[in-house]
This record gives sequence, C-alpha cells and structure tokens, in this order.
Amino acid sequence: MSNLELTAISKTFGTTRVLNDVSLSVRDGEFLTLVGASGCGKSTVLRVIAGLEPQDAGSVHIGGRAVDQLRPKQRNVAMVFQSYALYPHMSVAENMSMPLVMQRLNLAERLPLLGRLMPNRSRVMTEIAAEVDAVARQLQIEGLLSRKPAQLSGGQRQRVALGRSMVRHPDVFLMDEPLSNLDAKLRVHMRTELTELHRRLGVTFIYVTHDQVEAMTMSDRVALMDEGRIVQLGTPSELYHNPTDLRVARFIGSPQVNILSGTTTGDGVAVSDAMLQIPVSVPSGQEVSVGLRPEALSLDAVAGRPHLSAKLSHVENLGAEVFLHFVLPDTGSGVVLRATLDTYEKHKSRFDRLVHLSVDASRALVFDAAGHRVDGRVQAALRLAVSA
Amino acid sequence: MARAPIRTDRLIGAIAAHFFLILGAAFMLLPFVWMLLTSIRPASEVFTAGFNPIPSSFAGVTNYSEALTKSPLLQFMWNGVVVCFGILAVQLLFAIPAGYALAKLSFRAQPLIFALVLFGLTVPVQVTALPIYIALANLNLLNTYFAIMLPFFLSVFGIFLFRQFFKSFPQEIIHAARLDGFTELEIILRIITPSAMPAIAAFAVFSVTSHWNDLYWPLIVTTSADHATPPLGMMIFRDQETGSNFGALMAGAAIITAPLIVVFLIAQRQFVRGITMTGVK
Amino acid sequence: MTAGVAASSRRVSASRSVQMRAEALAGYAFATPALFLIILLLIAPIMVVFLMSLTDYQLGALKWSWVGLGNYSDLFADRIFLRSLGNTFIYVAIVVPGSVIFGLFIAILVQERTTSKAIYQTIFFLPVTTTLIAMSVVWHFLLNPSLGPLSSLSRAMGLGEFDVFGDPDLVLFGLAVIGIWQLVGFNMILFLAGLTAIPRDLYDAADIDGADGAWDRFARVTWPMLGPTTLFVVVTTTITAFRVFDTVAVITRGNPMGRSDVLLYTLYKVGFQDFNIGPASAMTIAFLVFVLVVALVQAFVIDRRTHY
Repeated sequence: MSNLELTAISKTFGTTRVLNDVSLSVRDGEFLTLVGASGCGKSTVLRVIAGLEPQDAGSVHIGGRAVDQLRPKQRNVAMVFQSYALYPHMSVAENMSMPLVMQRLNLAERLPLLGRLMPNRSRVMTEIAAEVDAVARQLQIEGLLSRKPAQLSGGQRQRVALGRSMVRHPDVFLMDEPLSNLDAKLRVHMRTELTELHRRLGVTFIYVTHDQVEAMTMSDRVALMDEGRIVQLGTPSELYHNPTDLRVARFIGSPQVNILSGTTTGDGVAVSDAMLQIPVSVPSGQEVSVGLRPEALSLDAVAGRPHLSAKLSHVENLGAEVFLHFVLPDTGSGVVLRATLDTYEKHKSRFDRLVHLSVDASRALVFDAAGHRVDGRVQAALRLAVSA
Repeated sequence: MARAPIRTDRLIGAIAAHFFLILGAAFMLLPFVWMLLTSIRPASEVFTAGFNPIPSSFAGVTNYSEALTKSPLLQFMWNGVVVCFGILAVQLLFAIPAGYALAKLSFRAQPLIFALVLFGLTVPVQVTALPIYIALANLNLLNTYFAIMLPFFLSVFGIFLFRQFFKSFPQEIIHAARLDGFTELEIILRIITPSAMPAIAAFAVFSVTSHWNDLYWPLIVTTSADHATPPLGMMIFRDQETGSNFGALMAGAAIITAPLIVVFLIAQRQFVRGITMTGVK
Repeated sequence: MTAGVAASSRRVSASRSVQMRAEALAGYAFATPALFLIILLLIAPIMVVFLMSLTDYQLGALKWSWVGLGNYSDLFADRIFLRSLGNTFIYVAIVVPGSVIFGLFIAILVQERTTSKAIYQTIFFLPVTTTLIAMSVVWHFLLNPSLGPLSSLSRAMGLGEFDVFGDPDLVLFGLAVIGIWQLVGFNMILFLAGLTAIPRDLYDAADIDGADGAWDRFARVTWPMLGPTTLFVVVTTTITAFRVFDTVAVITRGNPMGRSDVLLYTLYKVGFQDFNIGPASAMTIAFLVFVLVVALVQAFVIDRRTHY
C-alpha cells in the first residue's frame, strides 16, 4: 500500500497536447476521482499511471519508487476497463486467474499441452484456484466461476472485472468509467458497492468518470480536469462550495449552477437588478460572471437580502420538489431554483407577474473574465488548488 | 524531470517485423520483377544471365513488338474486355433485383431461393461445365462470345453480396418511398440501385478480375484464337514461342497482366471491401 | 369497439394486405429472373451431370445405355483417378497450412505498422489479382533449372541444380509454392479484417495481467478471438486449393509421369479431350462431393473449438 505521485506529466498524440504538465499527489488508501468532460485527458492519465502509454515528459512514482521504466505488469497496478475487457473465450475463473497465472508460472509451465507435464504446475494452479475462490466469495460471484462472460449480465461482468483486479492485491486500483455501461438503477447500486469495497480493502483507488454525481458521492478527493490540465483538486465539498474556476462551478452540481453576468461596483457586484455586497479583488467596472447555485435563491423574501426580478418560464415537477425555471427580463438569462412542493403551492398565484427571488449573497461565486474566482473566499480556495 | 525513454523492445520488434515483411514482399514481387527485367533483355543474354539483374542492352522494343505481332495479343485483350463487361452487365442485371428481393421483400419462395443461393456458393463452376458444354455443342454455339459468357451470367456470389448489402439498408426509407407513392420498380431503380454503388464497385472489380483470369471454361469452349481470352491467349502465345525468345515471352506475359494490375492499383479499396464484406459474416 | 373503429381497422388491414401483395409480387418479379438462371445454369446441369454419370454416353455417340453405378465403381478402381486424387490431396495438404499460416503471420505483422501498412498490403495482395496463367509462365521460367535465376543462386550457394517441374518428387511442391504465392494476400486481407475486430482493451488488460510478450498475447488473445475468421480462411483456401487447374494446364500438363495430374485436370482430359462423358460426369460428382465434405468437416471441427 503506497501513495502515488505524478510529476509534470505531459503527453502529445500527433499534434494534440493531451496532457499538459499534470502533477498529482495521491495519499495512501485514498479514493481519488479524475472527473471531466470527454477529451479532457483523464483516461490518458490513468493509462500513463498503468504504463500502457509512455508519457513524453514527467515521472510517475508509486510507493516512493519511480516506475517509468517498468512495464505495466511490473507496476503492481490493476485496472478495470469501461468495457470490462474480459477474455471472452475464458471462463470467469480463468479470467480471474490470469494475472496470477502470468505471475507464477514460467513460460514452459504456461504452454498449452506440454505445460501440464511440468512438475510445479498443478501445485501452483491449486493455490491460484483457492485465491480466486476467496475473492469470488467476497464479490458474491462464486457461483459463476465456470460461466463464460457472454452468459453474464452487465453487473456480473463488472464484478468479474473487479475480481480479476483484486486477486493481484495491487498497490493502486485504476478504474476507467467502470459504471458507464450499466443502466441507471444498477449504477446507483454499484456506486455504494464500490465505496464499500474501497473501505474494506483500504487500497488507493484512482477513479475516472465524466459523471459528476459519481465523483461527488464516492470520492475522498476530486480532481477536475479540462484540456489536459487539473483545474482544481479538493474534496467534493470544496469543489462544490468553493470552486476556484468557472469550469469547476459549471461542471459540479445538479441542476447546474446559474451563471449570470454582472459588473463590479464600489462595494460589490451588480447582477441584473440585484446589488450583491461581496468583497471582490478586481477593480470597479469590470465584467464578471456570478454563479448562484439554485439553493442560493429563494422564493420566500428574506429581510436584508437583495433580490432579482424574474418571470417564471416553466416548472419541472419531480414529485417531492420542483425545479422552477425563471427568466430575467432585462438580460434574457435563465435561472433555476429548487423549491419544495409546499413553497411552490404557496407562491403559485404570483407566477403570472414578475417575482422577486431573494439572493443569499454570501453564497455567490464571482469569476473574472478568465474564469478565476475573485470574491472574498478566493484566498482560501487558492490554497487548496494544485494548479490553475 | 525525467524523460521517459523509448521502449527498446518496441524498436526491436519493429525491426524484426520489417525484416520478415520485406522478405515476404520480395517473394511476392520476385516474379513481377523478373518478368519485367527479362522482357527488356536481348534474347541471347537470357541464356547466360543467371542471377544478374542488369541487362546488358535494352531490347525492350524488339521484345514487346515481337510479342504484339507474333500472336494477336491485342485481340486477346479485346476479347477479355468484351467477355468481362458482358458478363458483368448481365450479372448486375439479375443479381441486384434478386439480392434486394431476398433482403427486403417478403414472399413465400424467399427462403427457398436463398437456400439455393447458399447451395450455389459451394458449387464450383467446373461441376456444371459438362452439360452446358454439351448443350452449346448441340446448338452449334461453341466458340462464340455467348458461349464463353453463358455460365457466368448467374452469379450466386453477386446475389449473396447484394443481399448482405441491402440487409443493412434502412427500412424506413423504403416505407417513406412507398408512402410517397413510388412503385416497387421505381424504388429499386431510383433509390436502391444508386445507393448500392459501393457494393457494385466492389463486385465489379471482383467479377472482372476473376473472369479476366479464368482459364478452365474458355479453354473448353474456345476452339480458335480469335475468340481467346487473355489466359488462353497466353497459353497459345507460349506454345508458339517455346524455347526461343524468352524475352518476348516475358514481354507477352507483361502485356497480359498489365491491365489488371492497373485496375487493381486504382481500385484496391473496392477489392478489399468486396472480400471483407462476405468474409466477415 | 364501435362500428366505425372496426371498419377503419378493417380498412387498415385491407390496405396492408394490398401492400403485402404488392411486395410479394415485386419479390417474385425481381427474384424470378435470377431463379430462372439458377435453374438453367445450376440446378438443371447438376441433375443432368448426375444422370449422365449413370450412363456410358460419349459425345457424338448415337447410342448409349444406362450403367447404373458402374462408372463410380470403375472410377475408384481406376489407377489414374486415384493417383490424381492423391496428388490433389498432397497439393492441398501443402498449400492450405502454408498459405493460412503465412497469411496470418503477415497479417499480424502488417497490422502493427502505421505508415508502411498500405504499401505492404498492396504488395502482398498483388499476386491475388494477376492472371495466374501469365505468372505461371513466369514462375516456370524462374524455376527453370538451366536458365532461371533461382537455379543460378542455388548453384552459387553450392546446393546444386534442381529441376522442380521435371522431378516427380518435387513437382507438386513447385506447384504448391505458386499456389501459396497466389493465396497469401487474400488470406492476409481476411485475417486483417478479423484482427481489426479484436477490441484493443483486451490487449491492454493482457498487458496489465502480465501477458505482454508476443507469444502470450497471441496465444491468449489473438488466436482465440480469430476463431471464426480462421475457420472461414481455412475453408475457402481448401476449396480453392482443391480446384487447382491453371498451373497444371500451363506448366506441367500432369507430368512428369502423371505426378502432377490433379483432379480437375484429369476431369478436363476425360471430359473435354476424350469426350468420355459418362465417366467424366461420375468424376464431377465425386469432385463435388469431396468439396462439400471437406468444407463441412472443417466447419464442424473448427466450429466446435470456437468459444463464444
């Protein structure tokens, strides 16, 4: 069990710079997620760690030792692929035994027919079978050992892929969007299972996904990537409440954060017809983007809080709560608000006219034209970011 | 910051691979190269050349003109053109509708006809040669273009290929066309056939090549040189040229093979597509 | 259901059956010409051949009689036919493994290349498209013991002369070399298609699991995944090899001493030179049966070992 260190990794494919000076320090036993849109480089980072792609510059250290010269099998990492990559012609047991077979039998012992004559082989194979069995029990797939992957469901295949990774007791688990091919319900279930597994094993997990919900619910820390760089690294809570970059604010959170344009004034920011009193580190008169999460807006008037005038555009009824979509008449921008059913019923009658949405300015996130955070808490946020 | 080193094993692998590939390529190209070299060698030198690739003088003109005059090589090539394109035209005429019908239309006899097509795929043309020959002999139709083309008018391979191709044609387009009032005939003429151009190209290349190169059937039905197709022509030419002028012989071979090589180089992709379309079921 | 709805649903199903009839009509219209050709050029000839094999018909003869299975029993007692059959089997036994293995090997090597891939593909495929007759003449010259360059080479290397097409023990081998030469490119293309279909993930997983050497990757990922492709390649190569004719007709004519006499060549001689239609028909049926049996057996054997 060791930590993982990436130092200034760069990688170019053809003419595209896929990874741009990426550095990352992962703590022992941590569940770290790399999240971002397609093409941001997160899978490439995983492949560089695994040794499947050599990086153009920079180094990878696992457990304190440099692994750049080592082939994938020598790095003691295990990987679960999005497609699971199970060998279709082998049974579940054979799939799971594969890493151990490759490790413990030499070339002669591995030969198809002649190998069986080699003295050590049956002893080693029995050992391996026992280990595979133990892992299969942990994942509750011991009944499937003789089946072929084609006969398994998506969830079962995923467990076999996990099992194949677990038998080698790796230092690091790498997971490349393992839940993407599952249907929604199963995905939710597997999220819990994976988190459980991580807790039980206590091994470092590096998880790649484009789904911010997975990132938020499963990780100890999250690194959001964009265009080959890490934009922000922090706990899910930090990324949610304290994004250092507009891209982070936009990516994390559902429904998506409301972004409105505003202008800095002497003592704050003017957004539409609301005046937010927030200390900002840019001079007055600048164009800024203001991020207001749905929970920063409220239908109920709160004394002392500024308000935005808006007209209701449509309602999404989710049962226990509603998402209310409003439009600001002066700019035409939309905002989304959450409300409980009761609150909605209470204010329903007013929705044919202009409504005042009260704004909790203390939760406002202000970004400059380049997307960097510029409001009061920016200093604290910057201390947590690795690179910007 | 450490720089990742080049994986030396990958480099060794690449060198080894190229070594074997070049060896194999040499084997593939050997006859062509030797054919061309000999075709420009003077006749006397052929007997002494051995392994020496460089000819002492350029005798290309003599060799090639002898090849062209000694035997009617151009006539053979022309016969090849007539036969191949005649066959192709009829094949397309019959196979495209049949392939479409088997792929997209439902009618009682469909499974039976498809089974016959599959059966036909396994039957080599030599099996049906005898009776067709006898029939042609009795009708006094031997040694005609028609005789050479007849057995090949049916191309089960073509029917199969087009059926596979049309299977993946979106059914909705056909439905929409019917709703717009197209008759079935119009659908096949105005919509289906134009869309099948890639398959037609692949099939055309395949068909022309195999019939240009066919020896067995033309050998049987052709009795005079004026109807000989290129392979048969080559045999005739070789028999005339025995033992004397290898240079001219090679020149003749070069002339006969040249058209297809040109076609191949231009239409390589269609070739490959044709093969993989049926191979990867 | 109200009357109106019932009526309209009847109208709908009526129009649908009109549609279906139009479709069926079109189906018959489009397929019948081909069916006619199938009957004329495939079914009828096969039946006629079968019938003729039961007679002693000779082309141009005025009288002929039924001889039942007499032709067949004669055939399998006929030394020449059996020898021809044996030669064909030997030829196939050399060409099929040779061209399949060679084709697979080349495909694997070519698959990995990026810039040179297209060039190699073209070079290896070139022999497939050429006129075999012409190239056979060239090969004949290449392997000519006194004039050919390969002979000079072997003489220079101290291996002495060898007359491939004149030596009864070597002639089938010489023909097989030409056969392999012509088939490798075709098999390569088929294997390339099969190789491209293998998901790259499997090789990555194999790398991580430790199967990263060339042999392990081949044995544990490539070969198992190529199962269906290999089956197809072996079957088509076998059938093509069984049909060897051109090289024999051009180069050896069955010589020396009938050691290169192959099935189709014997058939050609008996049927179209001697015009012994009865026996030739029996031979044709035998040929057809062999081809079908070989294809079926291979399909069975290999299919059982393909895991999916």
